[in-house]
Amino acid sequence: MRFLFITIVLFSLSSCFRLDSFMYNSDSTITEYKLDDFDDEQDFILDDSYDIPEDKIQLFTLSVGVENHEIYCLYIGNQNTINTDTVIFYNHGNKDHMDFYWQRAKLLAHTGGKMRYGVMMIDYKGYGLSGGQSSESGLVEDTKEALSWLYNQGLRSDRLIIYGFSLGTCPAITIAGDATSVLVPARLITEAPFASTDVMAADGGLLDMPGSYYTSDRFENAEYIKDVEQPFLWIHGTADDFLSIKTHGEVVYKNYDGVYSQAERVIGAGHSTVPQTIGFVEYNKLLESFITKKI
Amino acid sequence: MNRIILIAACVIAISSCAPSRYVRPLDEGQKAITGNLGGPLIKFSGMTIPLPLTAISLGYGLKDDLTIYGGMHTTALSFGVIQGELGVVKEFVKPDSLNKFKPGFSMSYTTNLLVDTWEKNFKFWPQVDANLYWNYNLNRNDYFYIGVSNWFELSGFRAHDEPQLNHWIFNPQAGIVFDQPNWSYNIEAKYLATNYSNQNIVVDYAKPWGENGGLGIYLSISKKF
Repeated sequence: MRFLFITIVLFSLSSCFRLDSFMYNSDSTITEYKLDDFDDEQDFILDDSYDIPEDKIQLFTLSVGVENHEIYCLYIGNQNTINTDTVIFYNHGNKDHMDFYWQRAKLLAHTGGKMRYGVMMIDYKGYGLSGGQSSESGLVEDTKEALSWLYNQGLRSDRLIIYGFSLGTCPAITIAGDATSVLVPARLITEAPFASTDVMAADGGLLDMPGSYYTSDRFENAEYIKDVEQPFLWIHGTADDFLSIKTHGEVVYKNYDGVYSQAERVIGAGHSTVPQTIGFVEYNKLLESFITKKI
Repeated sequence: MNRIILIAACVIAISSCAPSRYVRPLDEGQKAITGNLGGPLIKFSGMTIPLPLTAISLGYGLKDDLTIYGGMHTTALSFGVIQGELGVVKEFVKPDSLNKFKPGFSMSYTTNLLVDTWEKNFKFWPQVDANLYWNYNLNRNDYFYIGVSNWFELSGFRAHDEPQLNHWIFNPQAGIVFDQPNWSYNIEAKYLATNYSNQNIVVDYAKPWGENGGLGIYLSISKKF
């Protein structure tokens, strides 16, 4: 009887916890964005030749959702010429906030030459100074809000490139395959994409465990990529020790069935070391050649 | 990525996340309730820690050489995953009561059942264990054991219709049981998933033996009545 009682109590307590919020490795303790002055851990730091003039860096906020959470956005380039420029929208990864990814955004701003393209990046809800809580749907919602802003500045889909890194591949792929989005990218670039939380679960536990055993966020990139028609560049380090190129990246790439795909398996690169391993100049050339490729 | 590693590990490190339930069967008619704590060692925030997985189980001695048992994994339960197990252990060879070097031998079969309360995804995995055990002190009931625990994945496919390549998970184990009339205490170490690489997966298991498998440490306490 006692065992039965304990079991009943435990059942009644079950589902007390959900691990969704732990999926996000955000840092919301900062009080300001420091960009070049940020001296905490970063994947790499570019030399002075990659500096961006201060008047070409705009930090601003947008209100998102019915709760009007404020998210922080960063635009590199000239806002007044968005109606004629091509823009790379960078969906950053799971770490901290935009300061951590500032060097990556600056590097993107050197694709095809200094500020050849505008670059936009946002902190999703729960990251950096952005309010609210992170969620899979929130990543998409925040990105769509930022795209609406770009649309209102005059950007059109044929001049939009979306680049997703790691966690950021979730909103990037979702929106690239969503014909109802206010802007749909003309080209999609993903670096180190997730396949899904199902694959994360199976990799971690070796067995065929559903991702629903630990989170309701599914990150079904391997399924959403099937809806993407636009030209697609996939970049993944062969030594990625977090998201295996074999079980994550290759599956996403294989499931793409659009007009053009290009795979760049970067020999020896880890999860966060693709640009460094390729070399910054070659990395920019790779992106430029994909963006300008006639298809 | 540390937090994602921890949460992933907390629930998905289900494979072999409990010690052997019964190496030596209970006496006929005897019952036991057991609580255990422990799991694979993972690296988290610069430290190596065992995952604090907990489970409770109940055993009943059908015969002197045959015990049935069932259990519930309480950590998984607290996260909305109902993980239960039903099993039976059979003693094939009794240890020599006069010679502490002659071991006993038992085998167990367990069905591990999981269903989450969120999307009702149900899975089960069979498990077969085999253990040799020695009454190393003939004046007491304590015993030392070594053996193997084998989990089997029956599914031919994994997520996104990719072929399932991991069908047999092999876990050598060793433990010691301090057995008293009403209570027993057990500590066990498992070399988890010896036959698989521990590289390039989302969970950062401690890797005491290089690029394969991981180490699990478990403590158990049983009340017999």
